[in-house]
Amino acid sequence: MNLKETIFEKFKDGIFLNTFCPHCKKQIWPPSNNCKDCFNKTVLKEIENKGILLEMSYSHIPKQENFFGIGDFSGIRILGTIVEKNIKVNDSITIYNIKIIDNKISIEFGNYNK
Amino acid sequence: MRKTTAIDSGNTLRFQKVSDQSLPELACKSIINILKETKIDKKEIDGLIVSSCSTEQYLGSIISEMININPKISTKIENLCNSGTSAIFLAHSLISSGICNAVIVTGIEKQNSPGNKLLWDITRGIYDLPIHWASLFAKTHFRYYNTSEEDLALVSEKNHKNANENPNALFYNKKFSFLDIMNSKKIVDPLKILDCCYPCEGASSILLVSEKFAKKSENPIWIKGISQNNQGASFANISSDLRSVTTTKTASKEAFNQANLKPSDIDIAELHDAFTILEIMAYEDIGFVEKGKGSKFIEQDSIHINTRGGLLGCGHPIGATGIAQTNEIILQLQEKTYNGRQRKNCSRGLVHNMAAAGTSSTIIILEK
Repeated sequence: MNLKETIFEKFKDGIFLNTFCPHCKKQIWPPSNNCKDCFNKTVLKEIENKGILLEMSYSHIPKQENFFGIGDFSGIRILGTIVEKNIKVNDSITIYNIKIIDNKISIEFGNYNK
Repeated sequence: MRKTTAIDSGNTLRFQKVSDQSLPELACKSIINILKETKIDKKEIDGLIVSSCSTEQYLGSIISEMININPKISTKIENLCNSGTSAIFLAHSLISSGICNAVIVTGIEKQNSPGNKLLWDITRGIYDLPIHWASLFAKTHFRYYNTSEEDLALVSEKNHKNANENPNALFYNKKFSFLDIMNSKKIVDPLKILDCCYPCEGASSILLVSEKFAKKSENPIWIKGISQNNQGASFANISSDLRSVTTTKTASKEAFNQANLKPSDIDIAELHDAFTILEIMAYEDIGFVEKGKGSKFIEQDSIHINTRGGLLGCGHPIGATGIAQTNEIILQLQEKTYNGRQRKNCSRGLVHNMAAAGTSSTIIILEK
């Protein structure tokens, strides 16, 4: 399995792994086998499940009629579905659910403090 | 920047949804229109750069054979929506380095181009259409600067109206009022269908020449500044602050430095309005107006913006767009447009072309 396949496989267990550079002590996202700064080999590490909602919108596209937004989880920024209506920009969020649909990451954001 | 590269002439075919013509056929039709008019001899063409997101093989050499030229270099450039000006950048580099004297750049695309979507970027998750990132830019602009849906509609109305003066535009014969735009279908808040450009088929070409060859040109237009900036490819990489497109700001600054000019020196500009919000952000990021005041600049008349109709009015054949934008500035500076869209007293123009959520932008400054 390549790196992407390995990470996607773990999503089945609800675990969001990303690549981490032990030398620079930082997340490398999107995932990469090598650190983009020092080029040392990265290791897989589970991401912190607390983030901030940077921006949000509402999609009217058929079969995708829902709120979505971009979350920042300690530098890992990703777009996901917002499953709770009371969430606003700059709120703390958590990842409720994660799966792979059509080889894409389908992630659900909820309120962290709930 | 020294005057090392001039644009001799250009041609754009009418953009359309689909046709039965192949990509090489489209390119040849556009290039032949240039070769019939120019004073540059076909035998002197020593470079051919194709701009396209198509996966078709060996297009540069195929087109070279079809028009019977034997250039030093024939190749293809792909840089998503920013392909066209990337190809112009390469042609300019070949000429200013002394490798070539006369380079044709041709942009060709079909409506179903693979360039319509970036598949690599897993950070977009299931929200992987261009309208998803564009809507987030718009939401941020609304929140910080009180930009409104009405402001977006004004951009769309202006550019569609300009397209009604451009026979090459996809929406040449289609009139949209402000109310039509405001009442058009919502796709992703706050963007409606008439806030979005339409992917289409098209071809556009230009002939760039060295200073020496420009002496044969009737009305050469000079590249005074050209700069591109790239900030990776993922939306994650550029989304820490959605108030600006960093690549546009950086490329603009360098292009203006090269040209020893400032934004207020520009008379006419083609801005990358793939979505209405992007035109408003471009006003600010290029420096025509201060950050946050973009919506107040839509109805100004100090700089002519998107006179051909922009991507909104012309359609967006990915690899051809940057070249068609450049062609419009050339025609305006050469005073060769028709159908009432010629703007008077323009001596300097600017082209802004970008790709993939603004991860890449090019700025070209042109002068008579």
